[in-house]
Amino acid sequence: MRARLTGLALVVTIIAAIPLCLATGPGGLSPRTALAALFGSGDGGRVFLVRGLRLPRVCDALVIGAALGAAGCLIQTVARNRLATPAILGINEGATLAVMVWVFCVPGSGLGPWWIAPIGALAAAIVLVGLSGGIGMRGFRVLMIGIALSILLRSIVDMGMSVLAVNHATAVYNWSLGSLLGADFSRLRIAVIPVTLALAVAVALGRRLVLLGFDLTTARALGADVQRDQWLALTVAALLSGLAVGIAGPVGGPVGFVALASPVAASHLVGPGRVPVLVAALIGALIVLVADTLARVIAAPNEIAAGALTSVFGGLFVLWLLYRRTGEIG
Amino acid sequence: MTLQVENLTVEYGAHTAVDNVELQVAAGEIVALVGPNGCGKSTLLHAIARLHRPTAGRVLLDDVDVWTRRPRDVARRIALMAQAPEAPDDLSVAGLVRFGRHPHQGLFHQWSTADEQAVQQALAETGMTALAARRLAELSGGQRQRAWLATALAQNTSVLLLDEPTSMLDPGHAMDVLGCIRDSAAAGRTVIMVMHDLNLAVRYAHRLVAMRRGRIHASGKPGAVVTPALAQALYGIEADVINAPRDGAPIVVPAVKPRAPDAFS
Repeated sequence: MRARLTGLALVVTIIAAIPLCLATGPGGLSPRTALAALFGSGDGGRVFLVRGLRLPRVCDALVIGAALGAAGCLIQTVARNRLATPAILGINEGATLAVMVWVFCVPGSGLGPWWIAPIGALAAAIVLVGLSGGIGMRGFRVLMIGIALSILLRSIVDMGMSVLAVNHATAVYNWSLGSLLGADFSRLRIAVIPVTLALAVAVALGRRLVLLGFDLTTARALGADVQRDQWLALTVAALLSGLAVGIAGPVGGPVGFVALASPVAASHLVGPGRVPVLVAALIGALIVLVADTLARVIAAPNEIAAGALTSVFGGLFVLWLLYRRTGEIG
Repeated sequence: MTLQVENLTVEYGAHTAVDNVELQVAAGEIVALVGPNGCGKSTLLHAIARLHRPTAGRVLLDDVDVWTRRPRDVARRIALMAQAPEAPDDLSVAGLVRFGRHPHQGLFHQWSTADEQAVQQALAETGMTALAARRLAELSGGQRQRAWLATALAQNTSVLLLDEPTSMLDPGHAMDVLGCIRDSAAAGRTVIMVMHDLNLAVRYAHRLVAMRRGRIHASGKPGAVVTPALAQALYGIEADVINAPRDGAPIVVPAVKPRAPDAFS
């Protein structure tokens, strides 16, 4: 009940936030005129501004935010650790590396098709589980190896970047910061289908994954197929974060704020003993929507990458999380 | 409802934890599993609950091998209360006991009145109704153990496996819990419980099964099985076995060994 009400409240908030985000920025639009332009009335310049420039960013933000929120929720549950995110475990780096390898191998094709990043993310997830010798219930091992893996992959990306032709390197770099600048529907139109499917599987998985909060014996005695559920969750999470990276670059930057914060906030909202995948997805969507809107205007006329901005929040959020924990223990 | 364990052998790597065990337990029967630490009692419970795949032998519930069923189907028939269970953070007692209904629910079958009834009944049977809203972290060890027992009862299975259900309880609460276990056996459940307190085990179990090094060392009515020789074989202690003044149940009284003077110095 509490989870449903929270979800409903979040959906309403997001719907209310969309006209505000469409109106924010140069052009002197009010939410009302922005909404009118969205539905095609008003002068041509305004309609293009709202439909052609801002709407794709809003849609991108919502989709990647939801994907990252859900992915973070799954990974934190499997690793049994609040600090486990696609970024920290090297899954985002795997996606970034795959995109860079594509740029190397197929010059002149831009950043490559949308499915390159999810494949890189999945490959990184498989390497991670292979190196950890299975997923394991304690999660600590997978976390340590993930951190090492992400540093390793990141350094390969950095090395590649220094070899890459300047114009390509700039494109990959900007993309790797997680900016929604220049978003259009070309990637989103196809990627939204796998994202939706993966989200549906993730939400259904949430119900099974609650048992992972118990010790291994009890979880299995209550009917959990622990190993299968862990594999499924990690696969879906890698797919979701890979797709998000494919659409917009590794939004969340090194800290992975969206994937980190959304599940924590979601757990607070829905209460103990749940794996709130859907609520985490909605919070993620809202965070990226707001972050990207702020990134557009905060240093106007220049833009800050949404990823860089979320990292600032991310650092503060992790500090708050740690201080709160210490307070509870002490 | 009969539980049959046929020639069961369970290995952890090179170590044989359960060695060719034969056991049959009828509906309504309470079996107390006793033996020294590391003799394979817990492993046997885990193997029965389909948590550990045996190297050889089978576990049959109503003539069906538990390994032919899916984990969730087994969880509807066999409940296991683990020795040191851990719950998700911040859970309340009622929140925990509701998880006993988890194997009975599906993606589209959500919370029903039958689920709610099972939870309320389990809370009442374990005397936890008044504490239902408390968080687990706020409970005493004994209360937490009763909350876990309530979870296993709410699972509403025909087989109840309990790994040291009274280890954290004072004598009064231990007898309350064992009384509650006896009631659920009387209602037709099959109960196997690991116990360390022989004197309590003999009072509440219909049958005592003593394990040693993975094998069944002795099995039978508590009055017949419990002897000074058993205490010597299982625990390596000198003990007298006397009969309780009231009901004649055997009582094991260990003889205090004169300790070597430098044992702890």
